[in-house]
Amino acid sequence: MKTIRYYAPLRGIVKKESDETEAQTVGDVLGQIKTTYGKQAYKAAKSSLIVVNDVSIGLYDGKKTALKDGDVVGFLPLCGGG
Amino acid sequence: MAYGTKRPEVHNRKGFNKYVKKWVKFLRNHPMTGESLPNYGSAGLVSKANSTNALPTHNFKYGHSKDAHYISGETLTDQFLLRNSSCISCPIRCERRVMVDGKDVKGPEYETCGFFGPNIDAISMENMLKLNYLCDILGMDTISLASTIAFAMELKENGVADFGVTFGNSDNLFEVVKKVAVREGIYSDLANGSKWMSEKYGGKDYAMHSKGLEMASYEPRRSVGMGLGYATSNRGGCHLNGGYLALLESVGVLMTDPLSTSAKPALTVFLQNGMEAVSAAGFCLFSAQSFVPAIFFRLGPHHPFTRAVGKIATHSGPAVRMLLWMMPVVRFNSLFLFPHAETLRLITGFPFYTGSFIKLGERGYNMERLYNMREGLAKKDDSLPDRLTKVPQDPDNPKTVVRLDKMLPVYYKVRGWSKDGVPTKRTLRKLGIKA
Repeated sequence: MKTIRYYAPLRGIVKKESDETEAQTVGDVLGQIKTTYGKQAYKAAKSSLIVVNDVSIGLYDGKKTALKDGDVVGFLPLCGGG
Repeated sequence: MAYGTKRPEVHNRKGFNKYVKKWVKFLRNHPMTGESLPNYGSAGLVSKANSTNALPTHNFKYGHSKDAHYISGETLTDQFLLRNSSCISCPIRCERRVMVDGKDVKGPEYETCGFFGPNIDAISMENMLKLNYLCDILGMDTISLASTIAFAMELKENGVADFGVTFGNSDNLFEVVKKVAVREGIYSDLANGSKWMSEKYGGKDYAMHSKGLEMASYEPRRSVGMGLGYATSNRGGCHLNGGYLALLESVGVLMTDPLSTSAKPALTVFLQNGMEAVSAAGFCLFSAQSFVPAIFFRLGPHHPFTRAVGKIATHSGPAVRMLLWMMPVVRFNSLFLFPHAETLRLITGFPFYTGSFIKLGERGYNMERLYNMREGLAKKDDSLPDRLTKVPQDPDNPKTVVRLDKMLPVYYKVRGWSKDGVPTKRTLRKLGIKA
């Protein structure tokens, strides 16, 4: 079992903080969000900073990143500052 | 110092008011200045930096903390935020207000979250909020102090000196901070900063400063251009005076290859000049953060188009050098890139354009350099601790070091300085500086 954690702005659309999933890849998680919550949520999820166990999927295999039991997939907001 | 009794005249008040309205609207509609900064403050960068291994952890030994989400901007907003606030008239409103000991006080910025969090391995938002407030009322900078404390922790870990501070524990830091403020006993040493301490006790290779100023919370081994910025910054290890290239390497949406040295010298010079001009004009640097077009935020950092543009930017060195060379003839102003120039033009009536504005920054940067040189600083001081230049962050990836040896000569060349980092007569003449 893997965990999906939602942060703003996605959380505002799906109206919950987390979900459980059996998805095999990050792409599958995105597909699951589209099926469960619709296009708007999918669009917000796609443009988020996607992390697996707090590490950007850009450092892994992008949306093809494989997931294993216990992994946490996060959809984080894009922030700025300094 | 300028002073007087009359209200300064505005060259074109009507045009100025109209432009400011347009600019404020632009900032409010931009995802960076209109959404992320008001929603999460600069603390929102914690998760981003952590996700790219660029969050200094354990005195910059590592770049990732598995517990960072406990002290992230999202957690701060979800569980501790009372309300937003801002400096006078600011449309961004990034300031966090939080409750400490029953008082409504200013909350922490990103740097404080990083340095009183993962960099000392202590993950307690409650303690961090209190330490942030304590430093504020004692007038101490959280970057310098917390980084010096992390250095003291590592001295203890290595059996060199014991200041009663240990990685993983922030419970006793309230007393430590107060003792540093009044220079009580051995804590007087901490008040002198990590450079001074490393000269007294040793450990220069892990005293995380440049020119005596502790570096900000961006791990340069995952943002090598930021490393170059820290090393060359006239103020020392400052991310803002250093050009803040981390925004295009490890904490932004549009990212160049954080380990590539290719375009970093030219990009660093460009951003250092631009940010110098923004600072000199009295603007907040966040007002310049809308230069990354909103489309990239809509697409997200993982979209093929965003990644492709990032790849192109990684090799944009010659183009940026050309742009720097063309600055004197860049006679236009835009809301996207340094709109500050247009406001200055409308206020003063002087011919401020993007090109001349950035050129102004270049002039300031060179004057600061000359001042530093007069005070004894030289090429040898454009440096970083060995931990960053010799020890790979990832032992399996030798590229995760800051190749200053490779970037500095190019940086000097782009700046029009000699091989020893001295501004040449030609450069000074071009900038109208009499040395």
